[in-house]
Amino acid sequence: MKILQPQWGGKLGLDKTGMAAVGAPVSFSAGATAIAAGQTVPLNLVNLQSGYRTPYWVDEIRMQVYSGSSVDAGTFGVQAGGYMMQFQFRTGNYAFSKTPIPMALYAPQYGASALIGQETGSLDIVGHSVRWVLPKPLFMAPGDQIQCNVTRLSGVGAYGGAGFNADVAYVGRALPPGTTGPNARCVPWVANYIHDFANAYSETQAEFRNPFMVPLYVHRFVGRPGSKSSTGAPDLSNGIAGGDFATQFNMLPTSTGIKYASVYIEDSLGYKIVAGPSNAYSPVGCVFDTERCAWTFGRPLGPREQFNMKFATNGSASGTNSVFGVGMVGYREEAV
Amino acid sequence: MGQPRLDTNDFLSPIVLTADSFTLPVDGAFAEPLSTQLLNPNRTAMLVDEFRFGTGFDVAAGATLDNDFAQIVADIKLGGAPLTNGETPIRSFMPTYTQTTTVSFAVSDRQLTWHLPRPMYVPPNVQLHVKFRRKLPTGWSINDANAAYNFSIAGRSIPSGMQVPDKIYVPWAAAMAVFTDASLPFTSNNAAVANPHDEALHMSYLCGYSYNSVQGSTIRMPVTVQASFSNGKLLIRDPTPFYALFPPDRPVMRLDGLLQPKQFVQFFLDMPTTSVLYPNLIFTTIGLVGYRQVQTPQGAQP
Repeated sequence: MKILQPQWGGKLGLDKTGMAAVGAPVSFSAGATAIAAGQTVPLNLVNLQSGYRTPYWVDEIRMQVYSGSSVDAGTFGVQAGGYMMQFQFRTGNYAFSKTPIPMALYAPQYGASALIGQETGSLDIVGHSVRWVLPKPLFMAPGDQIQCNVTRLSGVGAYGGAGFNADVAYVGRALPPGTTGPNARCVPWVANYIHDFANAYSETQAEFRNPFMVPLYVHRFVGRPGSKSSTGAPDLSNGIAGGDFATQFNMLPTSTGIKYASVYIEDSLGYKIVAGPSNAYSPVGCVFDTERCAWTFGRPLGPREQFNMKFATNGSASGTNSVFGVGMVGYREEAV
Repeated sequence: MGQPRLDTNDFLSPIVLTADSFTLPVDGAFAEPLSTQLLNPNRTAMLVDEFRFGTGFDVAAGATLDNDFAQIVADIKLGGAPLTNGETPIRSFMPTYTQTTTVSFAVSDRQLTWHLPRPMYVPPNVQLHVKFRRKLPTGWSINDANAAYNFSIAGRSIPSGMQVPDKIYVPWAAAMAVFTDASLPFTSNNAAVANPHDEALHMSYLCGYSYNSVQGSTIRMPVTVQASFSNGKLLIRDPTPFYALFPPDRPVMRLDGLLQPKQFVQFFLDMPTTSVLYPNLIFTTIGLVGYRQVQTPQGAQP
């Protein structure tokens, strides 16, 4: 099966149609959409459809969440993002995930800022953004679109007040009219699991299973700390998922005994993927590089194969309101 | 039918191996992660892509973590093959790209990662020996003497039955470092940044780190750098500000060239006499990272 490969580089779209063979850059944005606590809202489908009747590649998807009005960044914090806002994508019959996935677990490129759209005075629009570079460019036929549902967990409502806006943009390259499509296209697949520090132990079931009858090419684990309060709402005293992790969360053991998570990973054939001391658990900071909050590799999972992860909470002091989430990002080839 | 050949671009099963946490004695004694814990538990060869070194600090100590990493030197060997030129400051070959904790998608500089210039083939049952110790620059103190450190390797496990490559890539890190007061101008030792091997060294990057003589100060020393090869060729011709070569948020200067066997790089450091810090040079290090190709016994067979 031959797969049409995108051509990188080359001249920009300066030909008669405005689009060179390598593809003219294009970007579509859904537009800001208000999401109330506990709601799942589909983003504007019309806006997420190409305005050109030509095929195109999608290279990356960008997710943004920000407050709907001016709020005090000090109290509002940056809790909107991370684990509390969850995105789910599909194109036609091809889903990108089985469940909504926290935006923090899509990609290493994650930013939280109190400066997005800053307004005068001490009131800021605070927001989060994720730049998800797809594992492989996704071919889109003319008329195809990426549908997106955004879920805002109800816990965020504790800091409600201001509304939340979500937006999605995808960025790619338009192809000239009449370009023949590939025989198969690489559709992303994302799965996630969240370990709660309140539990001394937890393990995955079938979260990281390849549900398809074709190989799933896994290329990255994303691993991030997060926070919650006992009621499920973000807890400012413990920091906020996606914010300044460094002073609040520990992914590695500390001299003061602050809680941290450790993990053990093997595949369904029993081969070890992560082995800590004595072939046991390894601190999550050793596995998901703390600089990138991710571990990038290339590993095909055969049909019905899976990764098994076991998590343990270590340490004794504070940190009960923390969580540690892992996202698995890959793609499978689907016939066009 | 012979054994399948290894292609480093193949999909191989990822693996991370972590040794027990350890503390670094304040008296400068060595601490060594257990080598047996860094052996591939699948009992096959592996390709190592990264070395990861990190620590968890409490909030107060974390604020001055910058200093604590600067105090640590490492001596790394794969079996009998050295990967570092003796004790080498980790700041000279493990760059961190995130010095700031604000607006960050990372957990800042609690971890230093050495992305090896090329994947390193590690045969089954060959142990990696890594030694760390503190080497305090003049006037510095330890922020968190009880800090627990972690060392991990990340790579890919090779299936059994694969052919041993004819040649393997062995990384190399060598550095010049100033730990105690040095009078300026300062010239690095010939043996510090050298290629002592019998094979040519493919140079990948220089990594630099310099700190003010006043511990914890954010003032950067106005050090200038010049460099030349032992054969007289110039690497950095003009006195160039240290932080123009090695910006704190990306302290790496890419290289692409060969350092022939027994050759070395010499660095000349100076500072404007008008600087309030002149003529004291405290902790400054510049490391050269590269790799050499080594023929395996299998590769040597006709």
